[in-house]
Amino acid sequence: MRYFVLVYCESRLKTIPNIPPAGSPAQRAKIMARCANPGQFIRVARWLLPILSITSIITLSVGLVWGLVYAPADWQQGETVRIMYIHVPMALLASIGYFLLALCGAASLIWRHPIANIAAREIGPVGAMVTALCLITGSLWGKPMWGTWWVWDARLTSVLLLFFLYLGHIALIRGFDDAQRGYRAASILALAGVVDLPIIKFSVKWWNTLHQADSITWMHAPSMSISMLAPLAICMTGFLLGFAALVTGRVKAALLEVKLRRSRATSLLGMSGLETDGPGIVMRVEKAESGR
Amino acid sequence: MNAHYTFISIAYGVTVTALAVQAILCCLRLRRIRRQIRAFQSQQPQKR
Repeated sequence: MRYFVLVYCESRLKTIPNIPPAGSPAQRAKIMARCANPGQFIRVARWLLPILSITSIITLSVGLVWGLVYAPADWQQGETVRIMYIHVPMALLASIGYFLLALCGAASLIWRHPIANIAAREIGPVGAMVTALCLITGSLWGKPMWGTWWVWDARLTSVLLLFFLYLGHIALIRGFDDAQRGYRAASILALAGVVDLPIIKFSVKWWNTLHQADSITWMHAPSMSISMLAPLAICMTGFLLGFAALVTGRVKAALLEVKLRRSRATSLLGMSGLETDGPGIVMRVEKAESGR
Repeated sequence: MNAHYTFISIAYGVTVTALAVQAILCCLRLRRIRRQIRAFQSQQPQKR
């Protein structure tokens, strides 16, 4: 029996084509080319966007109703603890959003990835919005619990700094006449600002802060009841899906705008009878068109 | 207790409204760009 199994396995192995080892330069280049293809992104976004939107709406409806109505009140904080179901996901998304911004910045500076700049441009406003929501909901939670809207606490101040980093990124990307210079400056800011993320994470450990320590950690069991943890996990998933849907939709719209501008520029050149010298003249006409 | 519910309502209201506004703006932007693409394609001469 063992002999037949071995013979069968050997015959199957012979049919497998010669696959280059994972992570080889050729394979990496192929993956990068596939990821850098705007047309591919638009095709993927066509089916991904409705899935993300519908699942986020369903998950958020369940999570928010559970958190607002059915989850138990805290023995110490009372009903106010229900703000946690939106405050914690917003704080998580603010950090994830900035991390994505830094990844886009690295991809733009190192590989000149064509979608990275557009993705960074579109992630910025959504990230700034969730960071603002994190600060607002935190303030609304702080007033009844701490007796004040704001304290210059390490955690709060580092999140405020993150908000300003987002605003700086948005301003830099849109502030230059030459878009490429703006993208470059914004990428450098995104990479430099990523140092704020570990400060946010560990600020409650490094300094004596008014903000409470993390209730959910990788190493230890969560310090909250499962009846609170379950709606929180659902809300976090829902907001994460919603964030992904928003970013995908915005990047898709931005790519379609670029495609339309390029088509208009090419058409304009065709009508004027000029010959194009590759992408250079198309980009110059496109720039003039967008500047009108 | 009522004051607590006021804070909770404001927090939920602000968050859901902000997300909904972002989603609506994104949908409108996508619709506008699709219309512009369709208009551009209809202006182009048919190739044989």
